Amino acid sequence: LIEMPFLNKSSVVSNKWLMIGIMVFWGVDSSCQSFDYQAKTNIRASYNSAIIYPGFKLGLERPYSVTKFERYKRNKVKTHFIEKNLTFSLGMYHHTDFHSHCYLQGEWVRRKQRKSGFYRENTYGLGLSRAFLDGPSFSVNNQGEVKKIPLAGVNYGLFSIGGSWGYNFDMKFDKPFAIFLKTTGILYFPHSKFVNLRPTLELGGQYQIKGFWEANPTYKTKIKGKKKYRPQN
Amino acid sequence: MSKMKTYYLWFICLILISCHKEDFNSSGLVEDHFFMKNDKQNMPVLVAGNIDSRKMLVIIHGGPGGNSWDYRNSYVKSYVESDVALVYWDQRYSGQSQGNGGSYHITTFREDLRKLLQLLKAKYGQDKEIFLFAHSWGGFIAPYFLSDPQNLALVNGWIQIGGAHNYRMNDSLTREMLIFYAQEELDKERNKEDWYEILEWCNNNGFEGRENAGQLNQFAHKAEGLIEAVNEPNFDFSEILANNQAFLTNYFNMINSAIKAVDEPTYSTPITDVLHKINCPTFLLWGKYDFVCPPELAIDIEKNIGSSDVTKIIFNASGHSPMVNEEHLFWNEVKKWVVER
Repeated sequence: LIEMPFLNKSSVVSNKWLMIGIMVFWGVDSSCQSFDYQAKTNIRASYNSAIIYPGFKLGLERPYSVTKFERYKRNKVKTHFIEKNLTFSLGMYHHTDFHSHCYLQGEWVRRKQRKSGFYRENTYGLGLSRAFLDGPSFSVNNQGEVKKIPLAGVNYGLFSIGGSWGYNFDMKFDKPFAIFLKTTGILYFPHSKFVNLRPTLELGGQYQIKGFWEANPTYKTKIKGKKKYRPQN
Repeated sequence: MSKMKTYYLWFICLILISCHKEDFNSSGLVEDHFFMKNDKQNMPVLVAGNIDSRKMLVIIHGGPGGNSWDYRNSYVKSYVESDVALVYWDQRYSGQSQGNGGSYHITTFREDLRKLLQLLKAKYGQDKEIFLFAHSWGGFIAPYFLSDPQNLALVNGWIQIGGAHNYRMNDSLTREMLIFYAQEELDKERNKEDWYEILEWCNNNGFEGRENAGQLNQFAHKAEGLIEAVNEPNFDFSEILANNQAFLTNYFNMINSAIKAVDEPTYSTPITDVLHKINCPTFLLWGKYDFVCPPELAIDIEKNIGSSDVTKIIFNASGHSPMVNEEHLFWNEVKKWVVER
């Protein structure tokens, strides 16, 4: 609260209570310079499987917004962070006798980070892919001549929805990495003028490289519940 | 040191060359997996079995939207592929076929089959004898294909198993068969509730139209399960895993084929009228309790086909798929017939 020169002390105190009243009922958005959680650019690597068929996924995660939520209840405060970021990744899995599906994907991620280090996230992605056929491919022309097709495959657009659970070692142990388990449903199209679905399961980690492409997300704080006013000495 | 490097390089090259796998094996027991691309669809093909037998059975699976890998169980691998080569081919918009689009008209299915046979002959040798092994919906594709003399020249025989060569006649026969067995089973007081539902529907509805055909097909599958004399097929999920099947692709292709009504043009293409053009050896295998494609369809083929070499077998403990209801008996008959030709 800022003390205005044209206001006397009693009016400042009543203004304080007015502000607290606002905070109690609607919460407050405010820019935060000294934030106890710093979101950074991460590189991600995971074992990516189409359930039983193996693959991998490599990517880069860049946060653009972090909101700190403080919830006051019975003299206790519960804090969590909602981090929003964009992830760009290259993934693939190999389904024997079917295809090796490689895809480039951009994902919008909403992560709920708890102070304990555990987090969960929802992801929504868009991308492009190529499914390389797992086996030689041939075409036959109308004269019956056979031709082998090199690197045969099919290009698709894709849309994905995923959910992930992880643990961020930065929260409690000040270590720049996290581990996660992620499930994703990849809807790729057009598949025979229709769609096809592929569920994937990822087990991986992410790592903050110091000084690498520093992220500059916006930081906000939202307070909910009744925050007790304690006058400063 | 540089000499060592050269040796290492040669060694790596040798490994890479030795790892190169030939696309096709020309002798012994083969298991060649490849794709055939035609009109924007990549259709998987597996040639598995004894290629030295010179006999190749090309599976034209059911559906539309089914898949050929379902026909490959442990029995087939052990006792059939040891004697003949089986060609598992997933049709367009079916099974594990992949692609962005392409036509799904029956003429393109026929073109695919012709190109597949040309590919097989080109890669495995012109001396190979090809037998079409057609089941259900495949039983429409096979005679439709064979009614063209140029296509007929590529084939040494036609095996028809519970095939739907005449869709309209098929629907009519299914309705009649359902009414007949419903009355018989109700007299014997077996599964009364189910049979009464079937009988009531059949008495109040005809067989014409897509909606009625769909309902008749559902009842036909249900009825088969109600007949005690039909052997229960063994289903082993591990065999599906062993075949590396893409379940969801199978499922989406099946749904897609139904949405697109791939078999709609069959109603205006009655194969009965062109059966006289088919003069290759023909083997008709039907389950006695095949409500989906009733055994009278085999009689229609017998009556109208141009071939003088026609053999028919009815399996008394089978429904629509005698290859799983009476596996041993079925495959023995098929192998015997193929070897004799």
